[in-house]
Amino acid sequence: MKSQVFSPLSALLVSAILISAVEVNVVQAKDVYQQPTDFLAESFDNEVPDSERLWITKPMKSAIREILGRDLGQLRVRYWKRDDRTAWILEEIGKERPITTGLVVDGGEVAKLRVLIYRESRGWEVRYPAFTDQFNGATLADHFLLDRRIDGISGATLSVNALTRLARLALLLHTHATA
Amino acid sequence: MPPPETTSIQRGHRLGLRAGYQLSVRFMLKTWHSTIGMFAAVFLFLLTVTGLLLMQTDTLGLGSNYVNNSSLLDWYGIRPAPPAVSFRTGEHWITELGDRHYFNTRLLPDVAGRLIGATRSGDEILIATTTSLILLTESGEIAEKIGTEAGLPENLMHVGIAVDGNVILKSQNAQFVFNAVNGKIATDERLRRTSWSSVENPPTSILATLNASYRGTGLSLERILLDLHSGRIFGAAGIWLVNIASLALLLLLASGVVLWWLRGREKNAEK
Repeated sequence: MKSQVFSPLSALLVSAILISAVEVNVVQAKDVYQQPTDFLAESFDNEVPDSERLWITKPMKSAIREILGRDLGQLRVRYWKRDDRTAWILEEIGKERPITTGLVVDGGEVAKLRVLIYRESRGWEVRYPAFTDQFNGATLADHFLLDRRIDGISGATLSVNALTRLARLALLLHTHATA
Repeated sequence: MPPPETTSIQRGHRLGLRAGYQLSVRFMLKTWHSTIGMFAAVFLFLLTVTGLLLMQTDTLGLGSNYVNNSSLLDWYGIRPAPPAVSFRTGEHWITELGDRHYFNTRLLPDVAGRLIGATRSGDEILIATTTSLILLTESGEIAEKIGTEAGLPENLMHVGIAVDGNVILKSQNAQFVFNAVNGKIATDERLRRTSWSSVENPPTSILATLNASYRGTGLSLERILLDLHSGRIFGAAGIWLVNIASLALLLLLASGVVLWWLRGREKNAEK
């Protein structure tokens, strides 16, 4: 009878052992889908203008904090500009590692968003055009939000959110760079 | 004369076999309930006290209060700072201590690569690591970071300033000139007289502050409480002990409910 009474306990212990013993080994990889220099060449028909520097002013700082939920961590951002078209190489952390993203803004609208370097262990599906094309034509609405809803990808929510923040950031920076 | 005391089992026999069986189960459960209770009480106390303190992390500033006790720091494997590698540019010292980088005594966040030197770049300070360039203002604020993503060659070895004022970068096989204004990093085949940044010994006052900061900000009170709460402070054995204590608490809960139920049934049967 004793063994009957304590068999559930044994089962619980075994379950706890099994659950705790499971170790998930996450391989930190770096997938380069396109070199930033190639992205810039493609965005400016192989005639990349010299980069310019946008200094982060106080009003920009508070807007950036609203978009990213934190400070940018640097006083200026480098960008490339021809007429009303600007290109930005920006990084934002999805879950743990930064996603390097190329963005082109033309006339206040996102013309192109491309994941260049992906370092997270999951969520890489955000690099597919089926997802990134949703940003094309997006503009900045009230409260620095996009004027449209971006459909997520299950299992890649944090990466989706990171790219959405970057699109908002690029639109904000473009506004100041072309003002 | 008072009636002789009877055990639960004797009373159970009087009440019949079924009731007796229930009483013997209750007796055994009660014994185990008490034993488990004594074992779990110690952990329950620890979990409750640490849990309550952790709920007040912000109020008590537990995350920003650091432990200086060398035994605890040793227990956590937080060793004294490794030898510093420092470069001087003007009045300022740039130092690498382990995987941390400092502007004088100020910690520079998220600097990638190993420090290879520092020099002036116009009115800014340029810090070079094997994989990145960081431009700082005179007060040490990060103005800009340039990484390999922006076209910076990997495995840089030296940084210096040429007599013409250009910033020169050197890898094992090539030399580059860096233009801070347009951000261009171009291969440089000219022979330039360059003053290369080299390792120097920082003032002892800076080094002492950095060493204290390196070890002293490694272990917060919050970390210790979290590890006590989860048992991790005692390594894998501690985690298992807390796991077992948590299961014991569940068993305590279950045995308490069963005891209460059996007691109720017994009372009904006695009536």
